[in-house]
Amino acid sequence: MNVDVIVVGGGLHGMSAALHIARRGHSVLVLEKDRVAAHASSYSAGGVRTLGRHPAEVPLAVESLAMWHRIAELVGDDCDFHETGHVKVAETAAELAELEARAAAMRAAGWDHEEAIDAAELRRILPAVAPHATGGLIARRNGFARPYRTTLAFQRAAEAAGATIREGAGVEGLDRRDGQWQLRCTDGSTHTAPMLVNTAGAWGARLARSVGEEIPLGFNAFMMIYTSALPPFVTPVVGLTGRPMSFKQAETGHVMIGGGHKGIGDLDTGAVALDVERLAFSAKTALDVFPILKDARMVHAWAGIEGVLPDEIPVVGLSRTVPGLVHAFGFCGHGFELGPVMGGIVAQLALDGATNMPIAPFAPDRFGAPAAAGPGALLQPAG
Amino acid sequence: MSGLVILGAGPAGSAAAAILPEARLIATAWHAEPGRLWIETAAGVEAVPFDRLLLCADEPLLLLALGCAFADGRPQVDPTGRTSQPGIHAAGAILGASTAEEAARQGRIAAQSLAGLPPEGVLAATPLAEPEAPGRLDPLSIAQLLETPPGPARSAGILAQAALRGPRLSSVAAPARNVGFAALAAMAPATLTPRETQADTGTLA
Ligand SMILES: Cc1cc2nc3c(=O)[nH]c(=O)nc-3n(C[C@H](O)[C@H](O)[C@H](O)COP(=O)(O)OP(=O)(O)OC[C@H]3O[C@@H](n4cnc5c(N)ncnc54)[C@H](O)[C@@H]3O)c2cc1C
Repeated sequence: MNVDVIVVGGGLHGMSAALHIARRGHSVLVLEKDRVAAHASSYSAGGVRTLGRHPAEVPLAVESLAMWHRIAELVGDDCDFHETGHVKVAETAAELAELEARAAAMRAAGWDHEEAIDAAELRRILPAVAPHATGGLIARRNGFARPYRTTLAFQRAAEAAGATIREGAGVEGLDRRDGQWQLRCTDGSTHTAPMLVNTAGAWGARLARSVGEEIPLGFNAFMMIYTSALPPFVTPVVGLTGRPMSFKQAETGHVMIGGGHKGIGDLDTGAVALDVERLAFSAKTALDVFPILKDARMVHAWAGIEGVLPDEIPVVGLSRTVPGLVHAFGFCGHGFELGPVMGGIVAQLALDGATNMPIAPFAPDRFGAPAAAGPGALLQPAG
Repeated sequence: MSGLVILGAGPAGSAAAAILPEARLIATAWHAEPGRLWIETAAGVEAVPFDRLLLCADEPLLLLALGCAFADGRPQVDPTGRTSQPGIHAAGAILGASTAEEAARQGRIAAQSLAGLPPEGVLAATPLAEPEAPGRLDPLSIAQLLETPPGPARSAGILAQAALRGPRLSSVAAPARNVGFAALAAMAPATLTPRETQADTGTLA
């Protein structure tokens, strides 16, 4: 096929890019080696969170959150998005002080979506929280959605706007000649386009490497748990300040627990292996904070492969090595929330060569340069 | 202690245990990974190591977690019960043996093969009707399916989901049975060194 833009990778970011490019009237082809949402985008915890983000991500996350609140207008499906709030719980006085400092720093930077709360307000919001909790930090407009449903909604919207999606088409070779990319796929198909978008997730650095651009992307197989269905006891998504945990209860009563604990992944096969001792550690942390879980059963545990970068923020921008290539990968366990906004940014980069969004901190060639001074993110485990 | 484990205390497991007295016989497990079965008892959660495993109980999700190949809803076995994974054998209910006698016969054949004795006959899995392909489910829907009582319908539903993904995501079927959350938490180490991010230097295909 010959199109204006080829997108490599059919996860949420590939679908969002294709949607925004197609809506701008350009022909776009998505090549996916497996199936749409075969990896992180369907095994994600679906947290829609601005809370605790790295300052570089905040403007994008805030913009994306606004899009989540009208997601049906964008993709014709509400993606099961619910505004529930996200709360980060402090377990000591020192942790509460850290959260208060974070809220103050955010306010000083002009952001008002994070609000420190005391122990009484925390207990009003989280009646089931363990008595040792000292307070928290809340982002009231945050929530969560269903990742697989969301990615399929973006796929349908992209196709309705004219995008073509080809599954089972792993890109295995690419050349640039006379201003055109020529791609060879594992299904024997070949495709050409002047512009290429790399949304290959944990595999993104492989594509970059094949054009001589070395990006230090690693990957994790983040593990998640669902407990048996319990009566409703928690509405917001909950994280901790001093140890990795994410916690939410679905409308069905099932409690989803993440915590950044990792199994083992294999990028060549896409296989994942669980690590029972680390699942047990997640269970222990969750039980410490929500003793109500003591009679629950673990009914499901799974892992999803996600690309991560040393500074825990993604690579987004034009390639510094070759013309006609846009990267958007390595979302470090928190790219689901950024899905709606990122497609528009990628479309601008691919079609206009620039974006009005502040993406300089995500430059593909930032590694090796001294790290920027200033505050980072709060602990933000996948989920 | 590692060694030979027989999973399933029904007719196949019991017949096999009579031939393999050194084997540890356990009734069921909630999860399996290469070289380890995970069991839950009144005392808590425990890992049972194995070098060789004979799985007789109707717990196909354990074999799925161990990476065994399936065909027609059953683990693929040779005439002595050997699965596609070295050291892992199956016989009896897991292969669809419909009577206690047939299950015991299969258990004996697999046990004889494991003991290095000439097997008295051959065994084969009984194919299951192809389940309806329901489309891919997300983790919450998988959790709801896994929460239903263990049995053929639940196994078939999960096997169908696994088949949609190929071998790449065996965790879609995990755990094979649910496990007490507090019991799981109780076996957690006091501290945990975070696992390093995995490095990648691979190239396109
Ligand atoms: C367990 C878990 C929990 C998470 N929880 C949250 C959360 O609560 N909130 C949040 O904001 N984020 C969360 N995330 C992160 C978020 O899900 C991801 O950042 C996001 O889904 C990444 O989307 P993607 O499109 O970049 O990658 P993916 O969905 O992985 O898609 C990349 C695709 O590229 C394809 N591909 C790779 N190489 C090639 C090739 N050569 N040719 C063709 N196709 C190729 C792959 O097959 C894959 O389908 C979580 C992630 C995980 C794993």
